[in-house]
Amino acid sequence: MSGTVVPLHPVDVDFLARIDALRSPEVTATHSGPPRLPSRKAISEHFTRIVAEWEPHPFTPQERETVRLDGLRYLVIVRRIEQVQRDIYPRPLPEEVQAQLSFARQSYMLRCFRLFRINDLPTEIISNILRFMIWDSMRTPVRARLHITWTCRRWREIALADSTLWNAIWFRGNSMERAWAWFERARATPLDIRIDCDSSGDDSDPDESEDSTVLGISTEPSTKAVEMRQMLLRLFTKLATIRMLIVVVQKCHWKKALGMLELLSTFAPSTGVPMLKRVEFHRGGLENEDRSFLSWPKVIFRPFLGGAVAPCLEYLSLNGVSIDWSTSTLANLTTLDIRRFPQSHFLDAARFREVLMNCPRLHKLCLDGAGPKFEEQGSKPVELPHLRVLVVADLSRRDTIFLFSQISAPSVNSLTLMNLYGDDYLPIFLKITSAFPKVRLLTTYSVQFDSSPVGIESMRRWLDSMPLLAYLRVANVVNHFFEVFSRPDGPETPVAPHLKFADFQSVDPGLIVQWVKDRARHRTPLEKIYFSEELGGRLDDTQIRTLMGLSCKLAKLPRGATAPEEAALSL
Amino acid sequence: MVLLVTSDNEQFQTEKDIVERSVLIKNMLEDVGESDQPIPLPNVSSSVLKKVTQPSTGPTEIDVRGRYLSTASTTVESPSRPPILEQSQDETRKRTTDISEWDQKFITVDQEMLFEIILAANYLDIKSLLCRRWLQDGSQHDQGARPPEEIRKLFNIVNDFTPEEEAQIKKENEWAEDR
Repeated sequence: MSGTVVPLHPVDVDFLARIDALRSPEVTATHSGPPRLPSRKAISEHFTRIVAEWEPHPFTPQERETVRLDGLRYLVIVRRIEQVQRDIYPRPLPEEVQAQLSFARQSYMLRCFRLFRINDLPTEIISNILRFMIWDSMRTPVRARLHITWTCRRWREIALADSTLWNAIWFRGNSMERAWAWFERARATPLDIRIDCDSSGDDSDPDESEDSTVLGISTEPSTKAVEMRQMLLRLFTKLATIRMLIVVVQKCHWKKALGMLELLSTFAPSTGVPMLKRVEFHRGGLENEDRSFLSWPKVIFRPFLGGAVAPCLEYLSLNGVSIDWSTSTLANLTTLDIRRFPQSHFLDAARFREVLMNCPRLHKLCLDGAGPKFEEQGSKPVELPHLRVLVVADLSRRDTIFLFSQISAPSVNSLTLMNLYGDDYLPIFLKITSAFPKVRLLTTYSVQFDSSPVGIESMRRWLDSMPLLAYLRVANVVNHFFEVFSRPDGPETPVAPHLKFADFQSVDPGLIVQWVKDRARHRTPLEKIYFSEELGGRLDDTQIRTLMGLSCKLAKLPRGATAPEEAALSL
Repeated sequence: MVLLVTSDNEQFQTEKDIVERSVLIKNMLEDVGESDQPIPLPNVSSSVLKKVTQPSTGPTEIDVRGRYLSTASTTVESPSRPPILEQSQDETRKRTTDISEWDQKFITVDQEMLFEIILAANYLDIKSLLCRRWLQDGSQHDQGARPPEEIRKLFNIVNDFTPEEEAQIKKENEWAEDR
């Protein structure tokens, strides 16, 4: 700024003199009377109006200088107020002056924006700026991309030339035109594809899945199936560059699910899938599906990717659909997630073990209503030294015991047991006592076990074998579940002594309050409890006061959200 | 401390946590490990490096001894929330309003220097110094992109699309309707 004469208005000089006077401890305001504070809304509207009224145009040199001097005027005001603020610290500026400082800053910035020759920056830098801006717009990713391509020709050219902006593509319903435009713009960059096969207006009836026509969509294909096939044929012209493929098929539609897998099997061996890292197939179920009686039609499953090797594949999730496991090449996965298979389609135990042995880096194993077929003579457990996340759900008692006899995963940090009911599952807990000594996060939804004193004591031993337990997530548990956490002979050796956080869904609020009181009485108080939104609404004032009186923080956890403590413990 | 050498051969002893905001320098340090060897920055002059590495000067960040604290952000009380059950993200009942580092620097330098800083920021890979925040709508919770008309008005960018291009763009506009 040296050498520049900043034209202050007479009113500015007077104003700054009053600001300077604040250095005197006796002066607490820049004028007498109540502070004149415009509302935040009024200030926002002021700047919005100034921006809206501006008509972009090339500046003349004289105009540029006028805007610059105007901006500098505000900068002088900003600097002078900041100096006073430093000099009187820790005494704060009067609220009104703080508002004036903020106003002056915004006024200066507004002029800087107008002067800043953003389009004179090199293309590479504009491209980087636009890229960062788009990546930061997580909640409006489409809109962010469209906005930058509408600003001016240069930005549009830069954005369209940057294929990495267009490679996350969602094929669904009415967005197909957009998806294909993205697909073309992405050119040869690795693609992250999600396909939602919407059930609306679909012509295939779930009931016909019993028919043998489900064996392939090439048999008398329906209009929708033809469209789908055409879409996939076009999509798979870039199969070799697909990095992530997520397919969601609604409501039990076999044709679409199988058609997709069939085409993948056909194309993958010839094109190769060198970039494929993650694959998820989700075939939704019917409403009120009873998983215990799940059955599939006479379906012939094909080898995954036609038996081709996917050298980068790390993540495989199959939900409600399967593959021919014996002829599929599966190795080096870090996540294996299989769900909702009927018992008849469980994996042969030998093949299950083989897959696990071929994945020595396996980090997450999710077996939700799917797993190895029971065998009377199990083999030695497969060592999974890097397994950190284990989910076991919706399996019969026999199958669960068998599963746990087939794996050894002492490093599991997060253990989830869900929907193990309809039987006494106590033998499971006996089986896994001491199997997971490093568990810090435990999730138990709908687990059933013998409520006799022997049963409770066995469950206590199971918890004792996980001494690091710090976060407990619970839903739909029987009343005696909470008894497991207190010993009848007193609190000298507390159960789960490091348990600090709990997360409740669908649990009787009265039970929770009593349990939290017991934990506090046993000198193992909880630090924080999360409630689902529904459960939070069921707590009455007395219960809330009681819990808070125990120095326990209460918080609401939206569905699907991860609590910060859980995230920290997962590391 | 890390020793940096600029294009005009000036040496800077700089704290590691400051220079590590540059992904380029961070990677270099990881590659060479603990070493007293200077790190050459042939694309950055000393005057620009001073601007890039100087602490931000937000007045609210000055502590009792007048030292600069590390980040340029202010913490303000949020509007009142339901008294008992809070959202987990707001457990301290406070909300941080960022005054970006870039904005703090921007306010103190002239236009030519600004260009040099942006070039240096790009070379050094300092994301926070690239001016993307201006393009985002600060009034929106999710920091979505500003509408194109607003970006044009803010940056004095002339709409130079032909009517045909406008028509095509208008059509693309409909893509945004379903997210």
